[in-house]
Amino acid sequence: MVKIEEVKQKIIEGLNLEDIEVDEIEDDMALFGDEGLGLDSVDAIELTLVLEKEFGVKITNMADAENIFASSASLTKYINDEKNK
Amino acid sequence: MIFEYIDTSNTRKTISLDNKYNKEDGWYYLQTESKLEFIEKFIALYKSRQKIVLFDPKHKQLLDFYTQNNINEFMGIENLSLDTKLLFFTSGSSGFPVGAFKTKQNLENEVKSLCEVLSQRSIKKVIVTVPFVHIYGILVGLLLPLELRDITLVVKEDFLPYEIIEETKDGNCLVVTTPVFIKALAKLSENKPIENSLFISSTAPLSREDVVVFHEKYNCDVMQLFGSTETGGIAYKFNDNIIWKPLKGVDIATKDNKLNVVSPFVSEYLLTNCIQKIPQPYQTEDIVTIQEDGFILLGRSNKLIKIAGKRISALQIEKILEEIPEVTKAIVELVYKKELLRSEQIVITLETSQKIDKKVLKEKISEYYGVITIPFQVKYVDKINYSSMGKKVVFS
Repeated sequence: MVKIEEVKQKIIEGLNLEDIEVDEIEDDMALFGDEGLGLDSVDAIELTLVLEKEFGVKITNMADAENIFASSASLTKYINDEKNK
Repeated sequence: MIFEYIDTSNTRKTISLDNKYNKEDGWYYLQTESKLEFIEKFIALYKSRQKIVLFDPKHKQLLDFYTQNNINEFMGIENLSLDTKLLFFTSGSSGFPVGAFKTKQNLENEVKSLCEVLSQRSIKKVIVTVPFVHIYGILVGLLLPLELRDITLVVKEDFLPYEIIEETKDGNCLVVTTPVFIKALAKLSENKPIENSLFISSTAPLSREDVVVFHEKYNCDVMQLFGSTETGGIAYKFNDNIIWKPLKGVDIATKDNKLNVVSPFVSEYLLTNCIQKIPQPYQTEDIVTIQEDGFILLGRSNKLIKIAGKRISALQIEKILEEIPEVTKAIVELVYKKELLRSEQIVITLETSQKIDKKVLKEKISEYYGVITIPFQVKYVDKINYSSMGKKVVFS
């Protein structure tokens, strides 16, 4: 079972968000858009690489990615669901 | 040409591009929120020979400025050739985006030259990952596919790497993209060959190492295109070749080690606070050495940061940041982190009376340049002084 803090840490490391701490990312905080963490489409690509490398899960289309990447909570749920398949 | 648009729910639609537009006097300001809307409007306008100004939707201030200051009223506008059709914006070191006018002849000549480079390839599908608002997107992502004719153009607002793999599985594809995708694909666990296809990349940094990994992994060629909004395309190179070969019609030379260009693709006029004629040879800020039938790029001669077609002076950003009352001095540098997809990052070093929220810094820069997507890191130091050469130096 992957913990949400671990996912947040990998987001920070993978996207080189050097000035953000794990506890600054709330579980339901939006990862993309102007509100929340403010990630963009290049970060989405980077995040798919982080997920594949660190957790062994693939995201193969952007339509799914929009829901999966909604927050660190939804991302953690997706990783655990995929690992339990 | 068949145009296929993949919407956000992943539904593929074939879109007719038969829209008509009745040409009007003056300039049409084109700013759209989606690539689909852009293509539909642009093709109709371009076919009607309408003069078009392309605005990046992220740069609202630019559209506001030119809504209040009609382009037709700028001094020297009467000098433009009747064939002038497009106005692209870049960001000049003066602090406000500079416009580069392009004639239909500029664009058609360049498309023909690109077609020659690709003439030995059998292209059935063109996949475009880049926005169309910049010259690279328009030329390579739209006008080139129109010229190739017997192809399918595939466009989506945002692709993920596996979607590119899926889209190219039948081979004979031309993927119009940026270093981000080439680096991302090189890092995927996938390694199926992408048969008889070519990835074209814009001139943001792409390391030799990434190109080699990509080429070996997918058995697929990468072509990098070198140029700018003002010059249009200058040269190209394939895979890990280090020599840039000029596009047909482009003559190159050097002056003070800087690349000089005589080319039918160079804008004849720029838009600043008036309409300025560009002399040719056009001197770029690129330091090169001429070799064989091309050149080797050694670097840039000043602190210019070029991202997604915008060229921004680091010195100008420093001045803007120093307008913030709490900032005493600022140093802005571009660093290259090859392990990241977006490998260029701005490092801002500040001497301040107190720490400043990163959002405040971003908003300040955006006042001048629109939304800057390049990531930046902020460092605080006790003192920034000037060296005997007048250069800022850090004292921690």
